[in-house]
Amino acid sequence: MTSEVQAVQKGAWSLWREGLQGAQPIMIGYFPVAVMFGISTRTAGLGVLDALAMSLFIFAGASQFALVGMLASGVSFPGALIATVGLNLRHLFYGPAIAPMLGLTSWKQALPVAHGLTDEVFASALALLPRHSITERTALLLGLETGAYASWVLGTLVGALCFQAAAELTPALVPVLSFSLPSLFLVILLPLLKGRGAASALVAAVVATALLLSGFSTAALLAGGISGSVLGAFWGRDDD
Amino acid sequence: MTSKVAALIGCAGLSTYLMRLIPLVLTSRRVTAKQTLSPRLQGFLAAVGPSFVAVFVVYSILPAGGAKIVPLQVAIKILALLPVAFVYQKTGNFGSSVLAGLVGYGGLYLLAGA
Repeated sequence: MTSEVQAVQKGAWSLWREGLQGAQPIMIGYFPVAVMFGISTRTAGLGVLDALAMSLFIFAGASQFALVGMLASGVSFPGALIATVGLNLRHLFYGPAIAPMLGLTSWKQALPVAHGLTDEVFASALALLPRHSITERTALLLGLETGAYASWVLGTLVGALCFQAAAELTPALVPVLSFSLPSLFLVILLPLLKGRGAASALVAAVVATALLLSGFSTAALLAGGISGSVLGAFWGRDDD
Repeated sequence: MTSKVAALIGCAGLSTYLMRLIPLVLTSRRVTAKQTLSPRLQGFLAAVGPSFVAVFVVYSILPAGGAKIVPLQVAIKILALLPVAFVYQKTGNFGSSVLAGLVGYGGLYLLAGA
């Protein structure tokens, strides 16, 4: 192995670690929610392996909770699958938004990156990636995703294994620790509030709020995000 | 694990993964091939981030799933975001801003007995 290759590998590891450090706010927010997910899976009559498999293979909080609820209430297989797909439709927009930042040269590079692209990772990546050169960003993103994934899977395992003890402890902790996510979203949003970004964010927030208050909580996320993005498409090319 | 649960987890996992992967691969190909994205598409993609993050903020403040809105809880969350914004404006640091939010929210939560 040449020293040049070693230098490149060392750089990638240090970037990965930096990404992992950047994931700390996500990890703080994910862990108690994942513990609650593990508990809800067990109380719905499912096993530790079911809970763990969901967090390992799906890794999408809202749809995992929905899936457990649907399994517990005996919803049909197609119905549960359609609902899961519907809940995750917003993910279709994260890849296109983040791809120009990464400069991936083959589909193989996208394989590990795609699995961890959750709402929180996507939002954090928007803030973290532009501070680095394009060649450094994939390792950073993978570090960010690893931290979030590890926290989610570990929290699920703790909740599923110790669900009786955890059920008594976590209800007090969940509201406070899970506030790290709104805090994180806000600090990510603040620097994006310029020109097109501010207008898009405002429209998205207004649409989402109106739909949420009207009881359309699933549609709110997608409709809010799309309406803001559509405004961005017609905003002009001046002020990014 | 029953076969139905295993199949459901597999299908849900695969569909979620493909929804993340396919758009990422397709857009990366266009970027790598230096195919010019139309100005409209560029504007759309530039606005995806701020739009969805703004929705996440709303989503994390208001109760979802048809749950009843408790004005006090919403007010506590909005108030607790003020120290987050303040610390971020002063320091530009994510970690300390999030910590300020946790402390602020924890304090208000205890005060209100929410």
